[in-house]
Amino acid sequence: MHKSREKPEPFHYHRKLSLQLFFIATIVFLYLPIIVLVIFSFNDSRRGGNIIWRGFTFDYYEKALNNAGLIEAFANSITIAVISTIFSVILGALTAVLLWRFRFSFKPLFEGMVSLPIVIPEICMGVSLAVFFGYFGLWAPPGTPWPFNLANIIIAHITFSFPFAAMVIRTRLATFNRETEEAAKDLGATEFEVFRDILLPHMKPGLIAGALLAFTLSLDDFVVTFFTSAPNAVTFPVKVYSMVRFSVTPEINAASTVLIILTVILTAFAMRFQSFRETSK
Amino acid sequence: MTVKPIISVQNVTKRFGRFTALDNVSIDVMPGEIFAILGPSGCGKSTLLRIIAGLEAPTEGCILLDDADITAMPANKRPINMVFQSYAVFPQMSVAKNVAYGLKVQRMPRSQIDQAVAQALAQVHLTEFRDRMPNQLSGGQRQRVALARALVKRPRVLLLDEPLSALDAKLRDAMRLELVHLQEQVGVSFVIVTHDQSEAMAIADRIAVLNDGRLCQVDSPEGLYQRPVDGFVADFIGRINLFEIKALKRDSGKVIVSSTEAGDVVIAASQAPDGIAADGLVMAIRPEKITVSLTAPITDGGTVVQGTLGDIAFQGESSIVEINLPCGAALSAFLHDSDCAPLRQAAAGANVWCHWNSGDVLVLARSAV
Amino acid sequence: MESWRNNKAVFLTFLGPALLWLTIFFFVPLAIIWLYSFGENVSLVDIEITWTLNNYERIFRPEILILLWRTLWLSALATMICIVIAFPVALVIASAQPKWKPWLLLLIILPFWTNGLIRTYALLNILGTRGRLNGALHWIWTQANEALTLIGLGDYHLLGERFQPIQFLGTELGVIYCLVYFFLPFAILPIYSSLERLDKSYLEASLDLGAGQVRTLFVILVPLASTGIFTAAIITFIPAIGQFLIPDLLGRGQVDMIANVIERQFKKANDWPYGSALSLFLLYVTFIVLAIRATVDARRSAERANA
Repeated sequence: MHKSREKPEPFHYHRKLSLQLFFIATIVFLYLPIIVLVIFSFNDSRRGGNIIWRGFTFDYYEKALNNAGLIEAFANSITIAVISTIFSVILGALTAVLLWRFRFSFKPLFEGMVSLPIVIPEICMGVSLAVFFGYFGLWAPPGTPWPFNLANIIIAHITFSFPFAAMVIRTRLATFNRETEEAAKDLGATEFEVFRDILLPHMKPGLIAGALLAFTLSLDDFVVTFFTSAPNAVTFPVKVYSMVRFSVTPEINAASTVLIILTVILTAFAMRFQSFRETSK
Repeated sequence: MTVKPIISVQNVTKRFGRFTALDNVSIDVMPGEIFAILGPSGCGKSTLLRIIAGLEAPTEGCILLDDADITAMPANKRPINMVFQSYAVFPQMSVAKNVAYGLKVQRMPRSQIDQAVAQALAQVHLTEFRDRMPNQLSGGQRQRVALARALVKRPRVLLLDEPLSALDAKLRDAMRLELVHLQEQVGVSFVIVTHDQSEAMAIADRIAVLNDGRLCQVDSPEGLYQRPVDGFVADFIGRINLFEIKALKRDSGKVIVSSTEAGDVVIAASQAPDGIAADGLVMAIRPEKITVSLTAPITDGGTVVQGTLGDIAFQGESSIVEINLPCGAALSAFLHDSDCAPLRQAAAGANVWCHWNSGDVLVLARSAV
Repeated sequence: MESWRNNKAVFLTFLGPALLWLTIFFFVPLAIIWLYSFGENVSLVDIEITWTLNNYERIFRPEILILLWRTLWLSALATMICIVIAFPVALVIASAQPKWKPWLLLLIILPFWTNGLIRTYALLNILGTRGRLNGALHWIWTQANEALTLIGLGDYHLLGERFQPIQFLGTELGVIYCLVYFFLPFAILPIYSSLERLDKSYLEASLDLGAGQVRTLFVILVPLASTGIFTAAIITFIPAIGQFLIPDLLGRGQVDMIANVIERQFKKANDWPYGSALSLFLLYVTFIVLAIRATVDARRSAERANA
């Protein structure tokens, strides 16, 4: 293929062999570690290290699925993600509608305030929350029943997710035709009815996108959670971290593979849902 | 027996910060009429409509509905409904649900709603579309949904914001007729806001002309055309020729008006408004009042002006003839085909004579202060 | 947009919860660590706010400044590498056929959706001295060595006597590798977005005027995509300087960045006042970078307005 002989086509970079190879190399670079991780979850490694391939086994999956601490951590992660998503979407929606609808003197200041949790380094947020909980004695005492023992982590997650949700919802609100709101009012609807019947249906795709984002952010989070978790309240990433520091076994790989599969399914589900809505419009 | 107005806008002023959108506007809308609010962009007509609807509150003044002061009444409680410029049909609801919405929020029983909706849809010829979604409808169809949705609530007054401007020419003519028929059927007063004077003239019983937030004149279309109150209205409605007045002399029952274009014109004293100096006045003559001939006309009185033949815009049974005057200005004359034919045969630049009667001359203030 | 005065009740209903939440769970905690940064440990668990500047003084000690320098340097290097890799990749996607674009994007984004801890952990396996990457390099070395032997140069040990595996773990190299691995999708997206919106006619005009492909690329394409490149730099650099996990897992205590020192103050060293001061310092550095970005943006818009 001597494309260079042909008259150069503007902007058809995707056809150039060198760039295609580069692209493939990047993909390999990104995916190989994950693929190796999955493969080595089946490694029958005896000694620590899980470096050298010894044989195929499902043993470590069994181990992982029987690891009470791991399962509990996983359950905690899901619980935290669900609860914090609900609150994040509510707070995010309130903020988005507020910024979209009202003029007020301190609006730029408020907008800045709401976007701070997004820009601040995670460790600053984690540290400040840990200090905060300690200062006011707000740590959930050991023995608190589930799910309240997760309250600290949930609070932290809501704090950094809701600005993201607000951003997504606000983007959706920008496409709203104001006159439909006035028409509803003109036809006799109260403030609440206008919100429920006209504004909310329009916001729905934004709410769902915001929820997905908040859910993923929560499930994925490590640093902030690391500082706000406690012995009786551990999430999956934090648990895996402690296992990694201890020793490297295929058990961690197995647990990670399960989470990866879950993520892929969730993403596929989200994409299906999105494209379904696009075609039905 | 005097008929009371159904809507009375009294001394309404609306200011947005330093900007005055409406300045002391008062109009009365009579029951059963089509009332148009007409004016150029930015004159405040949409603001006035929104104040009547309750979507804006006036800075000063009040709105009366049937003698009751509704200025403080919120929009959703007023028995007035509006068809918005973008139609604002709710995208997530079907046509039937859209039309039913106003009845649903007033808690009408389900069976009654269904009946009313069916009737409203039939009225706007949308019965087969009742289960369609708005994104499956054309612009004209969506407008009819908006109409049905507003009318099904049996409002005392229906407001329409630029109902015809978004439609193409053919649809516009059809819709214009439909609106008139609809109003006759329903009997409710329509208040229409438009910037298109030919639309307002064709459809409305009475028209209020607004300019820069101020009310210039309220009159029937014929009244606005024949008896404009100032230069702005005269120029805005229909076509007109305007001349600057150099001097004005009153002389026992007669007034001599001097202008560069037409020389000295003698008119009756009643035709010139009192108390305004010459530079605050303009002279005007409608194009259809001018006769144009290739030979000097035999007249007794009136004004005769000589010029050369300019463009002729042929329109079928009539034409608009442009006459170039020696002073450099141009006159527009509107002639029927029979009068125009000889002119069309003549060469461009041929000498022509224009004539009009003194009684047709309008002397008007530039704009009502 | 209406004024809040029109509808005070609704306005306050919507403002209240978010404002309250942010104040209690975001600003108050920041205020507390601000207070602590002026405090001292008086006992194992008590901290007294003595308004000392001691903690801040400690920040400006050489060891910390060196650490800060290393943090900035590693992040900057990783950012540059990310952009250099991201640009061609974004170019390929942006110029691909519309039906492929979403799939190519998905391919790039999918790793991004995977848990960060898992991705970092995945690299541990690859980057060890006996890990996959070194294994592959070893293989290449062996092949190359055999090729040399074949042509008779074997005795010169041109590639060394034995294969020396590259030390990734516990070195800056490993940390940079992981930073790039982690942030690459972050960098690709804004550049892609910027290229996508580009008007192709600029390139066509350049070619029409006789410039070659390469020249067009650098002189025309890169400047036009500069907003995207700048955004990519910012959204890579800022999180990078606050990284804790990557230097911890891959640096193995040898390659500390600022966040690691902070973490240590709150866990092992139990020096909360000092940790608070460091955290705030990191915060200020972040804000300075953002301010630089804002100034550059503002100057750009002004230039555009005056042009």
